[in-house]
Amino acid sequence: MEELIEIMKGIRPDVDFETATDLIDGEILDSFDIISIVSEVNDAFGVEINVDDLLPENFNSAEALYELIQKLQAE
Amino acid sequence: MSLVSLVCFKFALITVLLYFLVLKEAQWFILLIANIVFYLSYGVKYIVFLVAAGLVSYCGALLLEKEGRKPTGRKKAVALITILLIMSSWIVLKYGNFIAGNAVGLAALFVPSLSFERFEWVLPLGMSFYTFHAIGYVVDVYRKKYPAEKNFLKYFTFLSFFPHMIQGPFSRFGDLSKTMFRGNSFSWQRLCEGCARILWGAFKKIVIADPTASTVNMILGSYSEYGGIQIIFAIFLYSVRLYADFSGYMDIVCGFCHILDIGLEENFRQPFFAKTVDEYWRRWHITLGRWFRDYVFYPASMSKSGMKLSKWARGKWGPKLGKLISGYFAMLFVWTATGLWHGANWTYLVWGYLNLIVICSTMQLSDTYSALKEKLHIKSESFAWKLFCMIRTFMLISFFRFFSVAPDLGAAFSAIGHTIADFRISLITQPSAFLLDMFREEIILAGIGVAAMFTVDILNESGKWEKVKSACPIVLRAFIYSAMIVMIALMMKGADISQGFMYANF
Repeated sequence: MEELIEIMKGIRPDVDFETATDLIDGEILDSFDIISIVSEVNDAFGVEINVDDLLPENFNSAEALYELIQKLQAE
Repeated sequence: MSLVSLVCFKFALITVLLYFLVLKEAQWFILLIANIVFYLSYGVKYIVFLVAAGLVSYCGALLLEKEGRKPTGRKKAVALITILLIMSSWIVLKYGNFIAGNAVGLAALFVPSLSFERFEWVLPLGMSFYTFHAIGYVVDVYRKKYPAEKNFLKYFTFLSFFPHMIQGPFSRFGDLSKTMFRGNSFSWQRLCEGCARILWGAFKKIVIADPTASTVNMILGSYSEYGGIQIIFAIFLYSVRLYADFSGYMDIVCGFCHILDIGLEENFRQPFFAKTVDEYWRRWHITLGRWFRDYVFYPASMSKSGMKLSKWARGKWGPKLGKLISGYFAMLFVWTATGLWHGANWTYLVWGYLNLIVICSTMQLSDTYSALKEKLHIKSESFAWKLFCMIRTFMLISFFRFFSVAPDLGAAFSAIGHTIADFRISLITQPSAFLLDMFREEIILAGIGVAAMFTVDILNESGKWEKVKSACPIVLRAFIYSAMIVMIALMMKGADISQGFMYANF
């Protein structure tokens, strides 16, 4: 989880990823942020997040994204 | 049947009456009949294309429904074939002349005797919109965002839904079906709110957009006869007119759907308050931007090529460009598609690429801009800076319109050249040189209309609109509505139909 927060902070240092729960619904992350996060997460965690996983519920918080990563790693 | 006409008003009234008179379970069937009647009012033969798009997307989605979550080869093939079938007639009818004309033009370089005669095809009403609705539906089912609809007639009600079929907004089946098929109750409050919004939309269309059309068309159609300052005025007026026309349409259809308690999505959020071109496109025709984001931008940027490009760029040019490069790569597809969607002409492609260049360069140079602002002691949050950015964005967007209104690239460049070379600044003291053939009363009424439209936008932008509206005494409200009706009647001068909507041509 810490590694994920580090990655997200590297892309958007101005966002408090520990507490934010409306990253998509609140329009905090834009489409460029999302593809940057996906690109770095794919490399760092050895997963392949594809376009079908781009749902608000998977990206609204760091925790939700971490759950998606764990799910993809388990597959 | 024009949306702003007496016959359409009667049609909408009958639809609302029947909708609330029948059983809730049958309400969607009334909508289906209304959609078919509305479409047939424009001609009988073109409904074949709509039904074909409906059948292909319906069957394709049912086949995709049987597939698992994983994107297998078979699943991809079904989706691809379905999308190609949906798009085929649209591509032929919308782009046939463009593709064939350019191919023949290219071949004529080697065989000079070749010539091209345009096909006299007419693009069926709403085809650009229902084609995209059908593609969005198929892709969403492919992505398992929601299940495929089993009842073809229900799906066809969505696809042919007349309020969103002529000019958008682009709706998602998963969202719209929630309110379209649940069975809705009549509410006086909704009726009043809906009627007020319809009136506001008709006001924008008839009092602002329609009367300014002839002036704009006259200057831009024969630009060589006018001075640069007149052309610039006409281009600015065109931007305002397009906004009044398109957002007026949205107000009318959203108001109608509000009465029926069907949730149609908003398409505008005060676009002239945007401080950058990128922000403008998040406020203007919002649902089209979202469509391209979901079905073009993400798939392109997250494709294997996009991800490889991003990784390579990060290693070669550092994290910043690496972060942006796959986005730029995808934006190239988005703006090519956006340009071509608006029209099968090189002018629209150039218009799209101008937007692309400005958006990408703004992102790329954001650090330089920040440093420059700091050096010049410019406060980003100051009103003066925000106002400057808004005016700059409006001017840029208006400048791009030189290309979207010109019949060909030569005419666009010639108009720009003429604007600079023959500016005629002295005309600025002669108001009659700008609003050419508009009557004095029309200018006054349209001026009041524009002032009202921007006042509402300012209040909406500052978040005060709802408060102001609810605090407005009923007598004042009645006076405002009456004044709007009188102004509409004066502008229509007894006619029972207004001009067609500009965006329906796309």
